[in-house]
Amino acid sequence: MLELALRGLITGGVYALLAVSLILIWNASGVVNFAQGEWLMFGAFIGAWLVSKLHINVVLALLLTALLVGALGYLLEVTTYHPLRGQPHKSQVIATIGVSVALENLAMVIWGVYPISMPPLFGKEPIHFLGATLLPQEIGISVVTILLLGVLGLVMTRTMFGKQVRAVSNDEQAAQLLGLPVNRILRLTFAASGVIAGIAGFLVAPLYFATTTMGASLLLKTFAAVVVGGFGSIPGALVGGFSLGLIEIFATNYISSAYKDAYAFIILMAVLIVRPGGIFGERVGDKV
Amino acid sequence: MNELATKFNVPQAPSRMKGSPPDRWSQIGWAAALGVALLLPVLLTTRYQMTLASNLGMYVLLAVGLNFIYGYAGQMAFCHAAFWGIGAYASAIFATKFAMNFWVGMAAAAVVTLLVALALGAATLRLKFYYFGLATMGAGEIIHTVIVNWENVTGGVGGITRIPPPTLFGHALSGEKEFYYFWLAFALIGIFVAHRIEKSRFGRSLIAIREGESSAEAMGVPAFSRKLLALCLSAIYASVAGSIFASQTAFISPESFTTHTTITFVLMVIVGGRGSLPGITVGAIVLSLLPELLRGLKQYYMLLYGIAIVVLIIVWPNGLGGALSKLSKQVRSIAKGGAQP
Repeated sequence: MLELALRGLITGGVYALLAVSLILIWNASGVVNFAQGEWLMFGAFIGAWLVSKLHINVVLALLLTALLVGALGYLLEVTTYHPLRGQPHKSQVIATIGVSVALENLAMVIWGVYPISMPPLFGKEPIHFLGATLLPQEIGISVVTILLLGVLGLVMTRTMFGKQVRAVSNDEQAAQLLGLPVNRILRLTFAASGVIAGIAGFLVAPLYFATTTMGASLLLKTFAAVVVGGFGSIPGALVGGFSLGLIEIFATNYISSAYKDAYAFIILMAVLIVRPGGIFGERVGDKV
Repeated sequence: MNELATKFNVPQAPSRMKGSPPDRWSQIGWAAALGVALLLPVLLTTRYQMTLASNLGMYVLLAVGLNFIYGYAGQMAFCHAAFWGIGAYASAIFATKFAMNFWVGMAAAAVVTLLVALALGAATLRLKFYYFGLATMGAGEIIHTVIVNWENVTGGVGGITRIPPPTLFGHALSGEKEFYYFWLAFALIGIFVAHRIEKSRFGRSLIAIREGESSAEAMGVPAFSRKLLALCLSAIYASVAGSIFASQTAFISPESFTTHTTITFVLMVIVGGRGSLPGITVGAIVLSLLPELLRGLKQYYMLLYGIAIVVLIIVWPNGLGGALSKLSKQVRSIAKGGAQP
């Protein structure tokens, strides 16, 4: 029971990270970025490649991965979002779908069609904790998730950059009138979102194999997490991500494992129909 | 009156008189396209080209169908491949397990798909924009998972094999050429029906909903039921395309009917230009051929396909349809002898 709960929280942590990175961009630009899952996939591939092929120290590899995927985020703003500013959101969203197709196949060009695995981090010796058996890497993953979310929370609430990002999300024109460098803030937000997605990918790599299609399927479930929490709310994305992980693990264990991939979407539809604002939703008026 | 209107640049109601210039231009365009389409099998030399061409009508039918809910009504529906799949699976099951005639099976499959679309639309069409998009995407994934796991009906990952070909007046269709014309006939009917609907009161109400749902409702358009009808039309088009697809390939498996496939259809509508039938017809043909045209680039081709889509959206935000109507306006003004500033 406890072991299941912990596993659920670890899976949920990945959804939560991806959900938060998705919401960062959504808040700043109003775009649901379909390439987000591919950033995670790049994080997993770069991480697995650095650690298992180049034998780079894990911490250094994590930082490098974050940096490289952050660069992908920056590039998305420059090459795709920026030229389409002022266009309807639908066009921008479809353009990010194009980017996601391109990135998925770029990964195939770079790393080939076969999945790459990352060796277990921090050894294989299981740790027993209150009757639950966990691998050291699973604990490592949860620690990194919590640290990253804590840092993000501090950055968003306590620093000038966080304030600027929130200002741009709130009202881009007003922020521009107040002399904020909106373009630069948008670019940095996309980059920050890439960093988070990249780290999430790095953390997933030892759990699953890194495959070129992993991004799309994780992103679809992350949509469910985001809707459950309430679109646009960062605490909501966290709660949605963790609860989705828990529900998925428990439902797989107690109901049926064949429909593992459907639970997220059943919850997604149920929440949208019953309570479209989600748990922490604010702007229900836009939705119904 | 007309002179005044031109002088003050007042937009006029489209003239219904026969042979007015805009009608004539698009009629010439459609007639030329139809001529090329009818002669295409004669012009194609290799069997490979004919195989590629035999399916073009299917993509046109699917894209024109998606255009009802996505293009006219402006609702981001992300479950078109699921409707296509339900149509394909339902008619395949009717044909293989109940030995049903192709046409009866196709109609029955359309009814099944219609019922699913009604239930889905009734539950989700009050949602807006992304929320409707995400709900339909979730529905598509659920339908796909059900197809994979409902093994004693759908055959699971193995799919359904030995689906009989369609029959036409007692003749069982076979060969690329026959299927090409079969698809062509359906695509033409599909485009014609869509064209009539676009010009009808119902079609105009859909476009009004797309441009502003609240204002459309204020004008007395019952937005919800109109959107529901549009979704049902999309589903029926997809279902018919699925039935023919299943009996053409004789084998279907779940991997054809994923969100990934839906996105391909959405791209056809977007690249073609939402709401523009000529644009969407061209968009469906171009995007279904593009991967094959780029295949010579080996593993880079899908990478370039993704980049090409981004570039197309940046260059022509209104799709090929927008670019076409801009071009035809210029041509028309040159034909009139008026210099374009």
